[in-house]
Amino acid sequence: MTRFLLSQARLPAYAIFAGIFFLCGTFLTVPAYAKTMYVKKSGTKLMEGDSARAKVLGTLKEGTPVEVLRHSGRYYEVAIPGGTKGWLFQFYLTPEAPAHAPSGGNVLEALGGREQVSARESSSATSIRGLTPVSEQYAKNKGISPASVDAVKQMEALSIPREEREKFLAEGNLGEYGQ
Amino acid sequence: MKRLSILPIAALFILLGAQVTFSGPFDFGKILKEITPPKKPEKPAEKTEPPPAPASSQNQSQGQPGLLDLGGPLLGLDSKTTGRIKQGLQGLQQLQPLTFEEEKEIGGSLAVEVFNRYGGAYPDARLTRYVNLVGKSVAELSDRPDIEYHFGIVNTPYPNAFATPGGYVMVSIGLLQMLKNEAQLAGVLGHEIAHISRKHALSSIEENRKLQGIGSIATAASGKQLEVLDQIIGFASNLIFETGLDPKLEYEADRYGTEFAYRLGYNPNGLRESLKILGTSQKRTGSIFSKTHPSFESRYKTLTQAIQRYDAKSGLFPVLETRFHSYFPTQP
Repeated sequence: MTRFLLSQARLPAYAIFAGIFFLCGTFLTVPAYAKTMYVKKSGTKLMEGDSARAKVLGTLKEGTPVEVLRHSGRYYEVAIPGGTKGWLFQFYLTPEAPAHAPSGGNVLEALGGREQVSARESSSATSIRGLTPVSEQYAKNKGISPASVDAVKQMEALSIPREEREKFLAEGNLGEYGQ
Repeated sequence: MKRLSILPIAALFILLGAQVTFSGPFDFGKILKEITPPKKPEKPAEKTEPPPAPASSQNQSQGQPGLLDLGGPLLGLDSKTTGRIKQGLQGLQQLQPLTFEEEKEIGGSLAVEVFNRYGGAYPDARLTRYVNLVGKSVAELSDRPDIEYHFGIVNTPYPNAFATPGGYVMVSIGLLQMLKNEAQLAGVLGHEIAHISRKHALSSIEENRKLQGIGSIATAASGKQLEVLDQIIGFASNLIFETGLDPKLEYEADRYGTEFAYRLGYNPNGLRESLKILGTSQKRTGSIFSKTHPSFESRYKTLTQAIQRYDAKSGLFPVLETRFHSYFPTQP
């Protein structure tokens, strides 16, 4: 019975090639970047072009879904909800929907003051700042020197403004400023 | 008929909500807490307090009947059944993942330990800022960019680096002085960031917490269960300073650390080169790397294989040797 089925399944070579060609055509003609990705963190800049030096159209909220349209260097051209198109540094996107989805409304935040605010301020996880009282209490109970506690507090307190970080990246041709 | 059978289930569900802290968006526990009069502040920990209770009773109220105790009879449940449900709920609480606040409580305590054990903070604000610039930039492109990462330098000549949960990374001045360029630094920091972003130590701590039957750290830290907190941090401390993580996790951190640094644009050979430098120097320096990590030789070989996909492009990416040296005027 099996042999019979196999013999019936034996098709002329041209039919097999036609089938393969059809399948390849079906799957490979799907645009390579027609996929949904998500913004990893709030404050991600949507650019007018595929460069960190292009005009900033606005900033996006964490979890914003974007349709990737095409790829250029280390940038993706994307369409955001509402249809606005722009460019994003590719590593600011993830294929997995983050836990913190945008709370609704306009996903494109206005430029200006908001852009200067660290993206992380909008995250519930990072609203917890500073050495926790529990850690301080632990150190006290263990008789750990206050200098060691202060060292961690200083780590926590060290904040780097976005402008300084961008200058650092630009000078090193890193991140969005890389090739 | 169906309605009648649903009612007790719904009532039981509401009562359960008071006992369990759900991590989901709809938290019955919190709602019920809000309408319950606030408790009087608890007294600070005293040495006369009994030792931590076993798992099944850790989060029980101190003699105060809970909603389940009061509601159980209304649902026709006897005290034995109510007790079993409570035990099950407490077990469920232990299964809840640690919150970020708890992660920071553990990680912050361990970071304090790192400075305490390894010579305190290295007094160079400019260099510390530079390490933070590199580290924070790498972390931003990691798989967990939504938490704040903090970088510090410990004042010991031995080459060491540590990552503790909650985003704390400490490298020794001894290690920094061995490196030759910024790409290597980014690779080393990337490795530590990967431990945090992949929750390597945190997963082991969580597993241990469940095995030990420890519930919420918030309860432990409330002043009544400080021994429990000590137990958790003691386990984590042993993991980081003595036994080390599973070697597989170290290899994974090497791969991810390289990837994170590469995403930022650094030459992907950075971490691999630093492993070679550390391996060469290992014979003449004391470091806990040897007891907490697989051998540098093994890591170098494994990483060499893993990063072959980058090799064709690596020449295009910067190592930033000059900038790195500008922060290390005494570099040999």
